[in-house]
Amino acid sequence: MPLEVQGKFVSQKINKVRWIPEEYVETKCFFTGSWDDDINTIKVWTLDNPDEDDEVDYPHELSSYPVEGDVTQIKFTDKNKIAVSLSNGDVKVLEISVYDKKLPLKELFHFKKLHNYGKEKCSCTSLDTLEGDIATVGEDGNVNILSGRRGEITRTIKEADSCSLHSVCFIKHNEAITGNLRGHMKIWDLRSSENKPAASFLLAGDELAATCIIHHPTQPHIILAGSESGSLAVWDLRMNAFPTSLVNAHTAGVNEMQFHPENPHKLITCSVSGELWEWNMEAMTKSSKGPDSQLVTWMPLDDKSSMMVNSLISALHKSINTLHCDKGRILCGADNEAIYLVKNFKY
Amino acid sequence: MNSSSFAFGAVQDRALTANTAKTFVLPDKCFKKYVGCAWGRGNKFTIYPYSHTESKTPNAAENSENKLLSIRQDVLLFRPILRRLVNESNGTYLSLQKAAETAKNSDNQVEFLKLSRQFRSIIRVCIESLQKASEQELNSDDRNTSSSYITIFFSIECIWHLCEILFVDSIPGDVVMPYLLEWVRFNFPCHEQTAGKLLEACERGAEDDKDYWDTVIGMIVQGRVDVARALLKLHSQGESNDFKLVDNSLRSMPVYNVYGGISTGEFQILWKHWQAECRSKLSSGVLSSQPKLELIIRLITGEYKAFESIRGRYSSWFDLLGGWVMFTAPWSRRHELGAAASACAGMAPGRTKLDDMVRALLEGDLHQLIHEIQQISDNGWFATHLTDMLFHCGKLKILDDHHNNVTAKVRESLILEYGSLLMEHKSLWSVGLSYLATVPPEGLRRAELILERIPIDTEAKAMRIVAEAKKYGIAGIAPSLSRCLCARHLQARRLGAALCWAVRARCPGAAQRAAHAALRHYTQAASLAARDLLLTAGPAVLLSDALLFLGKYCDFHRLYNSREFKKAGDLLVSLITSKIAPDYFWKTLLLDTLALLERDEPVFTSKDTYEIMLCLELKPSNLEAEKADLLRLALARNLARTALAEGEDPGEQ
Amino acid sequence: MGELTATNLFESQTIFADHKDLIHDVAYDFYGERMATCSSDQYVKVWDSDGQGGWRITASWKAHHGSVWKVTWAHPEFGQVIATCSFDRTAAIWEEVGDTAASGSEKGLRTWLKRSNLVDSRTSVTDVKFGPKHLGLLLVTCSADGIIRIYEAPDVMNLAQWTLQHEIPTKVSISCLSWNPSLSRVVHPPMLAVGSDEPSTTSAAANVQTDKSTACNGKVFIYEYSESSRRWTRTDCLSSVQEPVNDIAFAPNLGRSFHLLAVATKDVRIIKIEPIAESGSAGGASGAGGAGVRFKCEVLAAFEEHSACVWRVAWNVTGTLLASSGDDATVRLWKMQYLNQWKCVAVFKSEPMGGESPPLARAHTTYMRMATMANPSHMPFH
Repeated sequence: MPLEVQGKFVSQKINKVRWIPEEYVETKCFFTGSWDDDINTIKVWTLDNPDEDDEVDYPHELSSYPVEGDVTQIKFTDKNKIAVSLSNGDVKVLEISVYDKKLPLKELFHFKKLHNYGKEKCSCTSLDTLEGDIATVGEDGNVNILSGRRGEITRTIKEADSCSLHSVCFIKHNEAITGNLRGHMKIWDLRSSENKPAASFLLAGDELAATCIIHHPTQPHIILAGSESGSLAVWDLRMNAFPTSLVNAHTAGVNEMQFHPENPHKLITCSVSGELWEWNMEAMTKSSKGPDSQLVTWMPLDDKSSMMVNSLISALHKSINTLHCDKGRILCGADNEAIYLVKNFKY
Repeated sequence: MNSSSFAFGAVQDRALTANTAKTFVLPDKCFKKYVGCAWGRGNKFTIYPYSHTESKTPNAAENSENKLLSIRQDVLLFRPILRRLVNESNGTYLSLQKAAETAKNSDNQVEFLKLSRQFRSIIRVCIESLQKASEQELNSDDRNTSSSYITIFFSIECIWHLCEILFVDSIPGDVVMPYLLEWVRFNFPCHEQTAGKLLEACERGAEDDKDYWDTVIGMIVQGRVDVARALLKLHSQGESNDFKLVDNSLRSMPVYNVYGGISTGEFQILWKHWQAECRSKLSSGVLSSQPKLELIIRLITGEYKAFESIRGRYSSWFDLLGGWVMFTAPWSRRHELGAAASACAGMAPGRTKLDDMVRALLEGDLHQLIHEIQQISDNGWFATHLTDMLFHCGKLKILDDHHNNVTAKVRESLILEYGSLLMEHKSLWSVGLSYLATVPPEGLRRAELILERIPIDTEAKAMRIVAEAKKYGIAGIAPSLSRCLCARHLQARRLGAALCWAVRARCPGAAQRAAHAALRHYTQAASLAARDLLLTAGPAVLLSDALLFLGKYCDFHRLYNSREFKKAGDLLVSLITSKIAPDYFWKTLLLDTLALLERDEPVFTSKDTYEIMLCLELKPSNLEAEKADLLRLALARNLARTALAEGEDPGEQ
Repeated sequence: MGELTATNLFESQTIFADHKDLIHDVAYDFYGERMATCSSDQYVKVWDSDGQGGWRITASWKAHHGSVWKVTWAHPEFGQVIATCSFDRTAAIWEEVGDTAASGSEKGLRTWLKRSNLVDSRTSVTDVKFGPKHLGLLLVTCSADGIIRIYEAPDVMNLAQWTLQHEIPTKVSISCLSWNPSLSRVVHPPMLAVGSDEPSTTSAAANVQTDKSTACNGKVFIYEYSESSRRWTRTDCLSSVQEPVNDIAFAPNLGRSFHLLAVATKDVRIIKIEPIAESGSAGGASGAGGAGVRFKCEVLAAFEEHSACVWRVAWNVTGTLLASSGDDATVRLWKMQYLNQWKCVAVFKSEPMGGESPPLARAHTTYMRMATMANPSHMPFH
């Protein structure tokens, strides 16, 4: 079946979308988090058709949870719990009822002013989760490690960066990587009590922000970062040379990236320039010791070739801020106050 | 002629309404005498009790004189339910601009029609969601508000549709009648359900239904002759001669078709012949016992009195317009509808805003139409988009009092107005920007003024504003915004952030300020700010000499900490000899040599040492006497041992 | 079909100013997020938007030893800086310091420090304005004795140091001034407009001489800075304005070849000032000497609707709306239509006497819808 795109205008700029995982049935519900509005909200939506005379399912709002500030990141700490970072410096852990998703979200933990400039507000720009742990970063340059289960701050790296931090990613349980406003990347050993990075390197020479970082699902030493300039950098942490490759990709900032959960060769990216792209990463990896061997080296990327990249929707006039894949369906949220559902995606 | 004098009246009225501004009563009896006013951002301003003289009686400021009144425009389009319309239509608007770009080379009328329909479907979606919301509204005030929005958008839909027929769509031979009938049926559906019900039941004696005759007449004036005939057959006397007579007239009615193979002239002969036949039936009085059937014949022969007699059954004259054209002049071209409009409008007294708009439209007076739709309280959404559409279709020609063509100006001013309005909204600013960007140069200039004033509470917002400005080539935003952020961080002593934004601003002044702040900070706190930044800064440090100095000084610390004393010493000496250090920093630089002078291995050559000595004596370092003596001693000692070593090995010199 | 026009077009919110005497000026900062007020009680207050439409007082201090006439904000590139001027013959520069540990910071109060006191004037300082930011950190003051002073902070980090760059005597009492905000230094040299409140009856006294001894009894003067001679010269006197001037404001320039100046005098004036090409763009003010006419000035509009003295005029950010206020206790909004005509689009007036008044709203309430005073077209003609 051909790719099908369905949009819905929701009257808020959407900064994050997340499918809510289901155990036995197809996912139907998802979260959205808005930004840049007078009052921002985290909403729960479901795909259905109440009239049942229509073949197509449409998103319907189930619940709405107002927050102070912009929603800057949403990540799951558990199947039905999300950690949410907000631009007022707060971090919240919220729970959605497994039985009735219409019920309002329940606040489990609230870290007030986790990131701050003393008495003044400062944005918590992003967070990442790993097995119940939460790593948060903020414009204050601090890194906080939280326990999503106990609701405590387990570690704070004060002034981890002299500039604002904009992205964070767990590499493994005790290791995280952060990116700042200048594209300065630092790797932190969370066991060490020293407030010094284990390693650091620059994303690119242009000194623009590292807007998002992810690692490869099956090869966690492969790290990808998106830049404010729209380019994409790939590193192999086992190699000393940084970065392995830098690709001029989108014409404006990369907002979010995701490897398809079912097929790690597929990478999906979205950008400020309103593009949603699918990358075939298979071409980028070459196995030097056969398919069963662990040792896979990443080909240096030159420039994106048309072979490798597919556009999934015709470019929007406004930024696409977020995406989330679930099998053949990709959700995205954009600055034109709409969410889009791409169906029949081949993965 | 009747219609023209009517139009003249409307024009006079236009002048009148335009000159009367709305008056608003300020609450709280705030101000008794003089007032002052100050503008904020957007359409927000403050009114305050103003005095230009010093108060004569101190402490006599009355309570009422002590209030400020903050006023802002209440914008309909900012309501969440209408923000969908705003965003969705923005996409269509931008597509239209693109289509217009390609239309410069080739005819793109098909694309325009598609986009016009897209606009109408957006309006339809908007009406439906308003209707749904209004049903759910519990509060009667809110329900009234909702229903007034619905009224507004129904009118918009109706006008847009008619505009599309008259100016956007390509109609074969310009014969507009079938389209006009479609417009009537779509926007003023009437009796349709009853007709459907009766036909479905298909029972004789349908006249028992109280709406039977209204339905039959309704179908006639909507031009649905077939349906009307089918309904007539369901009458219990449907087989009677009278009914057959009428059915025959309806059946034999000539239907005009551009492709029918006959000219208008030939058709008119046929038509007149048929009408004469119908009239003869009337005058023969065969139908006098059946007034309803008589009415049908009178209607289809285009008798004004007949139409006038049924006008009361309809809420407006638009319901009759299609039928009137069909039964009086079915060959009417697009531009020949003015007379029909004035005839229909004249059937009943009173008129509404919508009447005026439809009249203006049918008379082809688009200037008047645009003037009328500007009065609609939709914050200019309709006027802007419709004008733009008509402009691109090449159907708009507006002349000013001196007969200059001001069409482009009118369009531009509407877009400027609409775009500027949206740019004031917390979220919709980017939508507004994309409108302003389509009307350079003034649009971009306005956008710049508003963009640089958007409050920046997070860096994410700052980066987005910069990205959007870059997209439209508004070059001034990025540096000015970065400089403001730099100043903000400097004020709060966040040196790393200040340096970072100064570098992003590519602004030597800001870099100089931030670097000085960092250097001063070091002299007070003895800790170097933003070490990570400075060591990786690259060519950016060349922005200002203070920043360059700071960067080198930071590198000196790095070398020293990694115990590369020789290199550290060389760098320090070069910093000293280059004399770019700010005055307040000399003390620090000189004291830094002390640690290196006291190493076991000599770090400085005799020449270096002389240089340091020279600076110690000549530069205003404000070094305490005790420390200066200590430094002199260390320098002398170093000179002694290096001179000795250099004497032994002249090759090193 | 119902009405297509909704009636509630504006919302209002009342803020209790808490000044102990008459208020003389209210100024918004660059972003419209902060507001400063000044009064005859010698105090200056700063108000911050709470982001939800409300205003919160964050600072209040005694700024002068006399009535504070005007308050104005510097561009945020220079930090959080305001300037005030007073009857006490001084103007002052204030800077907000980021010291959040200071007393009162718990209550959200901020500290403003006096960075500089400009004491050159020997009479009441009637107006003060920061220059356009592309000229650096400039400040201009004017005083009742008719002297315009232009100060510069050579180091924008050091607000304590201001040098008096120019002193321009005008020989008439000056009540107000406005910088031309035009960004293009190439096309338009730095330009100031000043207005005089000298009573017009004493026409002899008002008969001032321009630099090149051409008589002019107007009340609005244009000064321009010449790069070559490094001085400010009066290059024009708007003869069309003969009555005392209370306020004056240049509209933001939208890349046009001409400037728009709003003047509050006995009526609201909008004046188009167009540099004449021959007098040279590069030479700037030098053209004043030779040909004499540097500008083509045209009164685009003169509105007498206030039917009394007009006190203040203010442009919105894009210069598309002008607000004026006057003795008749009304504020009027004027808007330019596409055919270059200016029209009144809204009138705000206090409750007519004896009318039923709604209950007094509390301070800091959120916005309330404002009702129109019936449809004017339905009102009896008088």
